[in-house]
Amino acid sequence: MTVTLSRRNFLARTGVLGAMAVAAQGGLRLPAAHAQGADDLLGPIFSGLNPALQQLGIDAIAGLGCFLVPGPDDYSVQQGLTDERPGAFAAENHNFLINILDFDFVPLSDTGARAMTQALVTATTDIGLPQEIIDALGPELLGGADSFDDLIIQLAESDQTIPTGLVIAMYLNFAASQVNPASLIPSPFTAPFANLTWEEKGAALQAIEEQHAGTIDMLDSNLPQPVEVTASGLIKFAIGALLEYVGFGTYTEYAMFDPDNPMVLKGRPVGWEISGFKPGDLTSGDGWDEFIGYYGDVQDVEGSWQRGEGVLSND
Amino acid sequence: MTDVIVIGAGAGGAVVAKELAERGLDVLVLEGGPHHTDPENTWTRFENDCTELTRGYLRYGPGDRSKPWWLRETPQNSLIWQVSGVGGTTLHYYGNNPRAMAGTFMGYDGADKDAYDTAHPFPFTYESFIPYYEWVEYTLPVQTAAMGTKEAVFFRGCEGLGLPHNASKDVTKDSFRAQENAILQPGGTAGTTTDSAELVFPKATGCTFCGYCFQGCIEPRNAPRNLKAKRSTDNSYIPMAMTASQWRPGGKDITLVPDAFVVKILHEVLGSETVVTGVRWRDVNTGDVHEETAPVVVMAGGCVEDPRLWFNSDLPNPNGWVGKGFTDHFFDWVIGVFDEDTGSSKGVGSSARADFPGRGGLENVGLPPAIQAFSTQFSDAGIRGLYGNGLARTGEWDGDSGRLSGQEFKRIMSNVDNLLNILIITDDDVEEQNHVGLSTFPADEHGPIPKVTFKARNRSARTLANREWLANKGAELARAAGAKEVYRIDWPPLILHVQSTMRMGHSADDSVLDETGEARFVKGLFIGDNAALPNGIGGPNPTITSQALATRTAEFIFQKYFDGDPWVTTDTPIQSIDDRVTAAVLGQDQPDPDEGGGRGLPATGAGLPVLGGAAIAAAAMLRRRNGGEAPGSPDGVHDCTAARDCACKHH
Repeated sequence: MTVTLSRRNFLARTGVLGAMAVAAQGGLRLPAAHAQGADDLLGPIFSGLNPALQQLGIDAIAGLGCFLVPGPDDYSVQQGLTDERPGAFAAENHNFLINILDFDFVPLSDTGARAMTQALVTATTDIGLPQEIIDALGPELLGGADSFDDLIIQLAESDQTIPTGLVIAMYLNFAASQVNPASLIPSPFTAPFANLTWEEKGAALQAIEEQHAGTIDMLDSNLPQPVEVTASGLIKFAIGALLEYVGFGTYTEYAMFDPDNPMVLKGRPVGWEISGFKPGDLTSGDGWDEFIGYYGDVQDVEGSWQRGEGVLSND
Repeated sequence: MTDVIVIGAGAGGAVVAKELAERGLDVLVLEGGPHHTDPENTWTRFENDCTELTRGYLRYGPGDRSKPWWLRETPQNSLIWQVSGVGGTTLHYYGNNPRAMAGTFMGYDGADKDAYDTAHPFPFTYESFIPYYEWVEYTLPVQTAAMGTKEAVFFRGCEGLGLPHNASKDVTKDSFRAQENAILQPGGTAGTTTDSAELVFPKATGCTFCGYCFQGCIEPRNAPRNLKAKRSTDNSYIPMAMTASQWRPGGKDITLVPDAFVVKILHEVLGSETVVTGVRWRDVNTGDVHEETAPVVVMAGGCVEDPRLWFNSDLPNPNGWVGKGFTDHFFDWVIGVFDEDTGSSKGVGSSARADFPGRGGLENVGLPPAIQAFSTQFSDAGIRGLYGNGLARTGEWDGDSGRLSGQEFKRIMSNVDNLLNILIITDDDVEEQNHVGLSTFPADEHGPIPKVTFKARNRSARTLANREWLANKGAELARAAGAKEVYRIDWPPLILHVQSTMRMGHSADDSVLDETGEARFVKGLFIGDNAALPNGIGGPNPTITSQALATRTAEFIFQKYFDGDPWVTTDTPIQSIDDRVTAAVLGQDQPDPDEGGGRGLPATGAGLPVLGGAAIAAAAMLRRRNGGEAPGSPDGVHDCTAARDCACKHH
């Protein structure tokens, strides 16, 4: 397989190259380009890279979480919008969301993941990457990038499953790279999306969500029927669901739920605290003293049609 | 061989099953999801544990939560919110049971007759349908809802708009009212305390205002299953169907098989007709495949699964309308922010509504925090202040429509009980473009999966105009109620009120069912759920109309295939909270009718006439059927002396 600039762009723009840089700093060594028996190396390489790739996913999702529900955490500080009360990060929304994504909330395994990953590779073809960014990522990694590039493409074309959380993170990062290429430098976070400002994150989400921004159109233009509309629809669905689930996850009991003692929470969930829900409680409770009465003391109504009042009488 | 196979134990299938079991037929009910037999000890009501779509205990998937949910493709920003299991999506519902708009029925001749989807009416008159409404309203029972704080706030807004109060089950003009709810209204300590020790049956009866309608109803604790407050079919029709032999002479208990996913409708061609012969189903837990035969099969798996099963069974579809014409009330969402307590997280999910014939309706919705947060993020109009995704609109709300984010979102969420949510329920048109087909995604263990397509931005001009009008009206209502800030979210399709994918119609050119509910192209095959509705019923919540239609369909089945007589206009229904049903559910001896049995009192020995509101509603129906005369003393049904705040005419 010939390694092309576009594929290197793919790795860079999805944050994977940054993750590799982080892994390399931690001592990971990638095999030489075009190593023999690349198929056999898929597993070990992914195992070696796995911590960095996991961090890539966590960073991207945490960066999204604090965009919607900021707090005093480092991700919120980086985006330039904080809040003194805890937010999505303290609620462990990133763990909530990644667990769900990897549990097939968005059906990216098999056909979907391969189609989307291949589409991402193709979509990056015509988008140049500033030389200074490549330089900053470390030229010594490029040889490894070539081989890893081959491997990830092979993975995309194989029957193995790419974790959905990672694919979603790559989409967020790809959009981040469009908004601000400097975000690709993995600092302070591995994921480019987490390195954006709050306003830039909004622009990245806009790029993903609005069809005229071209991202989704590029996907469709690079995919065969009948997957075409399916893939773009999937992106719209996935991004919409992501934002909704950040809200949902942040305000649930997720981080305080104990499966071994499910009826009583381990502590007050962040979401309950910051929404004023059930002050002081750790259980769901059985009722409220909310009964007021019946409007107009009407507790017993019948149909009016039988009384000959069935015809609409709006003036 | 059995008499009737019912596929699905949700809102509609449970009704068909109970009605035919009551007539003595052998009824086999196959439900793809689980049967929650001990919810009081297994349902936490925590939002992630319960309502999270992929792994919550109320999800569309197998009961074994270590297994993935059952995926459906939605090639657009949208969500299908459906529950598998006994009770179906009534496990989620708020029990709202308004009747349909009369203008959606054939023969309607009101001044507003042109304001509806006139191309797709019910193929019979509203008047002829009322006895079926009454039958279901009595059985559940349906009652006029009590107020909590959020209802009082909503009503204040309605009054501020100058809307009149509608004290009727029928809608004849723009007006507001308390919901007609299939929720047992509060009695005893219910609604008066937060002390769980006091909220135990029979000290408490009916709704305890816990605020968890969406998480499934377990209140009041210790109540027999059929006396739980919310009348989801797992608490009402299914307990009745499973015990029919005990409370109805000649009745026969259904056979209920949960975790049984039907994968094929078996059929044969006889002459020029395709005739149903049975079903093939798969045991969700073991993977074993079984077949069962019957002369009648009733599909009631919902608006998405019915067409999927039809396609996967290779049944004929000569006019191409299977799966088409999906209506969903094209919801939208307006949030009012108050500087006072609104009680939004407390009480019944919704007990107040405003109706606008020809437009749709508005209802208040109370939510706990996670789903509240979800509702503010569920948008097709981008993020307020940043981008509009081509849809950001201005109106009676503040600024642009769209998601809330950052500090604005957090501030608005800072007190969930300072919010008033208003659901926009659009009277939407039947359109071919909104449909269920099969996906190109890999099949699951039950065959090719469904693909649900909604062209939200390209809906009919009437649908879009109705939605805009209602969104503005909702914002005005919030403002009139005292909201300091008002936001419009502009939801994408939330596929929760689902109707008409296997629609009944007067024309063979654009309907799947004839006016009896039988498939035009497969004899012996009926649809018994929301999918059979001919249209979006004008905007009211669809469950009661589906259940009334399912009752009507059951009558036709009994007449055509079992040589029986109709019963709805000649017989007296038995309530799901009747002593006889309670005794059957508890495994007790049947109560002696000479000693008060059958009056809707708990068969627990406590002797408390605690369900006064239900009895009042029952009395109203019986009075009408007796020519306006009360059947007994004081009304033959309830002991109003012990029903708190009883508003009956007898004292």
